[in-house]
Amino acid sequence: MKEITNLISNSKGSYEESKIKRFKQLIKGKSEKEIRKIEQSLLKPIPIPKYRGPTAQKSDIEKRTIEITFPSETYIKRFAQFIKINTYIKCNTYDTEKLIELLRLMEEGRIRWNKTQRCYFFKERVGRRIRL
Amino acid sequence: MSLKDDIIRESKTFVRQNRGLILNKDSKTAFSYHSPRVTSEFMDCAQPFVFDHYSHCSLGCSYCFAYSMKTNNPSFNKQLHAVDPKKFKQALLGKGGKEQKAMYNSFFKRRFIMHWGGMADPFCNFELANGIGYKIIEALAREAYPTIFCFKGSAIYTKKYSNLFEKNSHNKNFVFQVSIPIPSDKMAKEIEIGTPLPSKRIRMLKRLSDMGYYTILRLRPFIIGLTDQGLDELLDKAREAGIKAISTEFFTIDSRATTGQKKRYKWIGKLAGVDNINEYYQVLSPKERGGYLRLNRLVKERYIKKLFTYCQKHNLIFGCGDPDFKELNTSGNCCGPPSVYEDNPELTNWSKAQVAWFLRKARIRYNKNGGINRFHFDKVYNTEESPFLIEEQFGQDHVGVVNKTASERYGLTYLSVAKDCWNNLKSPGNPRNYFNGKLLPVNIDNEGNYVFKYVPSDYETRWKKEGIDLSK
Repeated sequence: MKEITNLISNSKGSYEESKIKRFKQLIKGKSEKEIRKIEQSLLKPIPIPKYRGPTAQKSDIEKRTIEITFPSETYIKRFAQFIKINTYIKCNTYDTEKLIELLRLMEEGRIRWNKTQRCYFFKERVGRRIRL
Repeated sequence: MSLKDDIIRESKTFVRQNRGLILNKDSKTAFSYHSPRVTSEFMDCAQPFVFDHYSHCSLGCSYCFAYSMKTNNPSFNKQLHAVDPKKFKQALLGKGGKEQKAMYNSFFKRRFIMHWGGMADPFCNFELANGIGYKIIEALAREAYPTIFCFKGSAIYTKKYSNLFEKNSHNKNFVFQVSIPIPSDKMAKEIEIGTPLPSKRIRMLKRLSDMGYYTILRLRPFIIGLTDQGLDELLDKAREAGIKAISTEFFTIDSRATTGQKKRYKWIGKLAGVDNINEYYQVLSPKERGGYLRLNRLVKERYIKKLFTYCQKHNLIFGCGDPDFKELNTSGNCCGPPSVYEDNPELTNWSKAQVAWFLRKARIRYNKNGGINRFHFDKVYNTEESPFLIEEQFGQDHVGVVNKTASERYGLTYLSVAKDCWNNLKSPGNPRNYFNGKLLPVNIDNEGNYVFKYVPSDYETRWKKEGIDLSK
């Protein structure tokens, strides 16, 4: 990568030099209007070399975004009874505070599921509904 | 009606209508203008703490970029609004609400230099009629708060303001940038409608320099074909008037301009000797920078060389606000304030957590010993140096929030805006694109951010051969 960049950088240099020399010769004794025309035809921008190395995450939001796929829309509605989540707009998640609170309770062991997949909250059986 | 008559008539009408315009103090929104704020150019700006006390300016300069920005803003209200001086004073002293306190903690408490006059002239005709700025200047003078004024217009030429600055000159806390992009009085009458003539502005520069203030000649926007006409004479006159620095940035064209703005561009193009200014800019501007068209380095080189060598010869600070040649800044602040100043060290209290500062360091190192500097995101945007970068209160002010989703807005800071831009190689604001190849990505660091490296330009070799010292 370093070699490629140096190579382009060097070739760009000599090209620039020749352009500037030619420009200086051409504008001698010319009017302002003529100089603008010479600038327009001769001093076009030099392309920037393309980057071909590893790419960075475009945005920090991508790092903290996950996608949840439910078996069907019915599950989304069931889930939404407890936590309101807007699943229809990309990257939009409302009420994340409730999800974070749920995570905290689970980490603290205050919420657990038994073998029958029933949720227990404060050791009190609450069925499938999670009351936060 | 010819284009000239049309432009001049329109601007003159605007200036006349606004001269003597008194703010409607009974209106609920009279003092609702939101300022100070953080500039959206904070990524390479040494003075991101900017202030304007009126919602718009009363002067009729045809090249005005603020006119372009404001006429493109659908929420812009033509009615004059001003900053509430009481709220400003509260923020200055660390009182008031959440917003004022955030401003105090990030800037005022740290005695961070404030730039007054980014989007409107601080001394324009509105100030002459309303005097709101006078109260704010008095408060700043009492606190000897470091402030840089950028102006052309009217009120400062009156005795009232002159006396105020003279009375407080011993503090040396004020810096004055006087904008003179058109050297000749005759030409200025055609473009800068309703503003004091350049010769009058030079006299004001002298007056302020004689009071002991740090003064700067502001050649912005540098319009090729106009600013270079009579430039040598202007530089000499400004130097004799006691300036300490020259700051420049080239004229730009916004491809999203409104019809009124396009007419102004056409007029400027005609005066500058360009048949079709839009085409001229389209052809000569690098595409990577997006729709805000800036000419490429090759076109600007001979003018920058003239200014840079002039500054070196006369021991002046050179400031270049243009992304091209930004590495040539001799203080690391493109507005021209010093990096060392014994008379008032607070004038050096501007942000080093921005690319321009690191570009200057990279240029000096390369031209001293051939070393190539690398740019790491966390080193450039140092949050200890500039805590405003992580202040959530300011994040919502950034223009970028308009296209963000709710979850993106949540917790948005200037640092996150900078990070998104730094890591998006398609963004016009990305260092690779904005500096047009002067910085190129070479790798990814442990944090997953791009690492950029300084790319020595061809002009550096050529200028060195001609005996120009680039190692300072």
